[in-house]
Amino acid sequence: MDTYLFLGIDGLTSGAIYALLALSLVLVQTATRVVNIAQGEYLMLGAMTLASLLDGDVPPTLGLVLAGGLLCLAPDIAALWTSPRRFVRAALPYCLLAALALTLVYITLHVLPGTVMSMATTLVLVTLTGPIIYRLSVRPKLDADAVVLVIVSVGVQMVVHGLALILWGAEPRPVAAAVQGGVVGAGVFVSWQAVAILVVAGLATLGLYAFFELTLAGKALRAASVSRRGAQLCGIAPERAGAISFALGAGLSALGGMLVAPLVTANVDIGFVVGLKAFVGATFGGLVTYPLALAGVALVGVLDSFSAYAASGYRDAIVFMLVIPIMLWRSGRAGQWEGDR
Amino acid sequence: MRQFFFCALAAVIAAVIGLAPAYYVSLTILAGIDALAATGLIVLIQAGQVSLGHAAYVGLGAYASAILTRDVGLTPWLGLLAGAAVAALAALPLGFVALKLRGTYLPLATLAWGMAVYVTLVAATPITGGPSGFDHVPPLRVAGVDLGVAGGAERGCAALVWLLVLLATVSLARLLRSRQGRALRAIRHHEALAVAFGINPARVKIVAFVLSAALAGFAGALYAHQAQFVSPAPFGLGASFTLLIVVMLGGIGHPVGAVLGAITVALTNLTLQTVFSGLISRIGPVEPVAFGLLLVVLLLKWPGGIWSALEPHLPPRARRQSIRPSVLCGRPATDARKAEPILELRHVEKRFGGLQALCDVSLRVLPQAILGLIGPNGAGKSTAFNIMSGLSRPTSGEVLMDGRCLKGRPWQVIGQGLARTFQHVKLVEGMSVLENVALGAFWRGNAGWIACLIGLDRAEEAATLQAAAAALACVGLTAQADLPCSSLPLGRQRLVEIARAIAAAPALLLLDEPAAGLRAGEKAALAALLQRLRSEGMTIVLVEHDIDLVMRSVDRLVVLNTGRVLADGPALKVRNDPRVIDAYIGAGVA
Repeated sequence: MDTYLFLGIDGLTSGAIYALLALSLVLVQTATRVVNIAQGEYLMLGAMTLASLLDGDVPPTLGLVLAGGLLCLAPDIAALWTSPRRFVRAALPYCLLAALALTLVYITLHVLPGTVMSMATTLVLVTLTGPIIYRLSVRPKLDADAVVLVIVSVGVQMVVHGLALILWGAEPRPVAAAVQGGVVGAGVFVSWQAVAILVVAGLATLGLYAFFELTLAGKALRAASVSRRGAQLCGIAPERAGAISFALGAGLSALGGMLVAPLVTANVDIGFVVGLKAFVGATFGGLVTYPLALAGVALVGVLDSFSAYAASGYRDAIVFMLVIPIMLWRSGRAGQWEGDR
Repeated sequence: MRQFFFCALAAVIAAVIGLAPAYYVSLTILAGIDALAATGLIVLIQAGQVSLGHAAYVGLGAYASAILTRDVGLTPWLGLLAGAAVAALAALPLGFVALKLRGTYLPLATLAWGMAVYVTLVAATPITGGPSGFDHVPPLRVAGVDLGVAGGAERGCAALVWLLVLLATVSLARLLRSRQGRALRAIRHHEALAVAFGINPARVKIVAFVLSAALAGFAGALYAHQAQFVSPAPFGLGASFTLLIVVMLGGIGHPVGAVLGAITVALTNLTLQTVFSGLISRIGPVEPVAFGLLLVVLLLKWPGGIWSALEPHLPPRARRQSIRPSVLCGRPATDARKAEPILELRHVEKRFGGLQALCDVSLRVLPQAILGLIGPNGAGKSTAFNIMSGLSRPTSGEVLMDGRCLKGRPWQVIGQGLARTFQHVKLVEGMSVLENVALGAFWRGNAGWIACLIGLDRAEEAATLQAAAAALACVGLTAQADLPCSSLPLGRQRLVEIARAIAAAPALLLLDEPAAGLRAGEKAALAALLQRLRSEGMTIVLVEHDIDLVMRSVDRLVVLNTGRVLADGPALKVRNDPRVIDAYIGAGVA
């Protein structure tokens, strides 16, 4: 009995991590139509960046952000001689953000080391990678087929994962838990880290829900995903909506990465599988409705830990195979062919 | 000239197989296997689908064939077929998901499914040998020679692999040009169009998934027998992504793109490993980063790949026989004008939730006449049109075609003699004008997938193209037959739409605002065409806003207003009906 309770709690904990990822997936998909294969890599960046900072190293993420920002600016740099004003206007926000990133890393390493500061810095760094990747991979071709955008995200996944492998190496890095210890309840030990994960995931969900339902900015993001033209006519710049959603998605995923890092020694391979499992969970909600997506990831998490216990080799196979029955069930009512319009 | 390019490509590959050092020959074997698996992926993408976990089917084919030949004693040649069959079976569920799911989530589902298959291969240790795999897979034998790498028969093996690649490329190119290939390409761009012309998109998608997985499985089986060893490593995520890169690099426009892509990827790998080996040993594995960048840049800058860069320099395919356009179109005129209507709506009602779009609409379309259907915006014209064309069902009431109830799924409607055009022109991009028109004749043919693959459809294909050319002649576009449809101006694209409907040889032609966006001269030509079609026995329903064109063309006029029939009768009489003037044309104008 205790075993099952333990597995259930373990499953809910990993379900909560999947939830953060699933929320990011839904967020990015609704605002940009990109079904982001690379979403899990932000989680990996979160875990690895935190590990570097806690070890007292300059995180390679800083280099990625600075180099990426420079690449984004490349067209403006090329136009430097013809219209210096355009360059200054474009470069200013980049310079400010670069200064912010550098300052935060400096403070974390030399002034105010510690878990909380490291997490804050990690969050900022990884969040910045989101819009950079959006600017470089999606924005040049906003009108592309959804299928093309998916394959682009495959390319992004290969690049980010490959760079991480080069920069951090393949060895796993242990990360100390933000809060040690735990409580014993009903004969089962629950670590504070697991509690923190559940609380943070819950808060993030509520926050995102409120953002989309209650704020104008959230509604604008949703509008931009339904019809780019329509949103444009209402004064919503789809490029801005895309950049914001990529930033939010990256931040949420990084949060998941930082929370999960102490439970599974951080390594560059953790992102992809978690991303894909989050997707399987999110398909419950058809990738658009938050409460159902959350129920889905909770189920996937529990199933995940039970199958890890009962048939460890097939663990991933069982979870991934779920995708077919879920999709058949979710799309039970096949759409009619609309006429002309 | 076009043949010259393909021959040159084949000659280069043959020269490498015959003359290069053994190491490079073994590389061509692997490139050939990649190309074979990638050809299937091209077919899938041509159908508007994608598989992100395709290497799993390669792996499944490899394991299936290896196990069946080593442990059950099947001959390796049958093993190849068994590998293809097992992989096809594994992809079948995805086909069913693809029916229900459009676009966005399907790619992720294919990725998850591919991962599930791969993880199972690793985990099922008792059967597959687990992560380390197993050896002693029997090689293929040709004329007493073992074609395994272990036996040092690289050249023979490479020759066999590339022969199969050649076979696959040629027959898939045939397929994509054929009746079934046109259907495949049509559903990628306009599913509603495909349905209206008798194509069942569900079937096409399932076949596309099964065919592409079968090719992958076949390639995998080939891999197992030449390496004589299988392990899960070459079939993981990286391999799936490599297949995507092969396809995107080579180009999805033609199966030969798989060959071009596979060769380029192999050469790039070779370059990275030889020229940049120092760099790689210093900073780590740069290949995934390089290929990932390549994939992103390709999709953003050159989505057509190498093939699209080459194709404009190759002359177009010469048609096998010159097509003699005949002037006859539609059905031959019947002797006497029948009194019974061809199409009849009886008390049709259509509700969308709380909105009543049509209310008690009854109308009759008499043979060899042109019926105009007009009404202000929101009157229910489009709803009525969709119900007439069988695309949507009335909430209550009946639709009778030739006195019988219009029945079956939307793609079975055309077989009952109804063909339509679309208000927003739906021509399949990347097809020539003639091919687009040939889609109209899809339902009249019956060449299956196998026939199209191996070329048993020649007679039927010739007849289809003949019918398409005749329909094109009817609208006066014979000279434009071989142009890409997207190169025509809108007015002519509308004529192509009409030609496509004519090629279906319908009893009843439904035209949805054919004059929208046409200039005055084009409208006059359209009016003349309508008269001619009627004189040759066609019955036409014309939904149109241009009242002058309508008055010039139609025999009878039905006016819809707020979902009800406001007036129905001879054109002039209806035109002068005060209620019609009030509701539609506007009081004081007439």
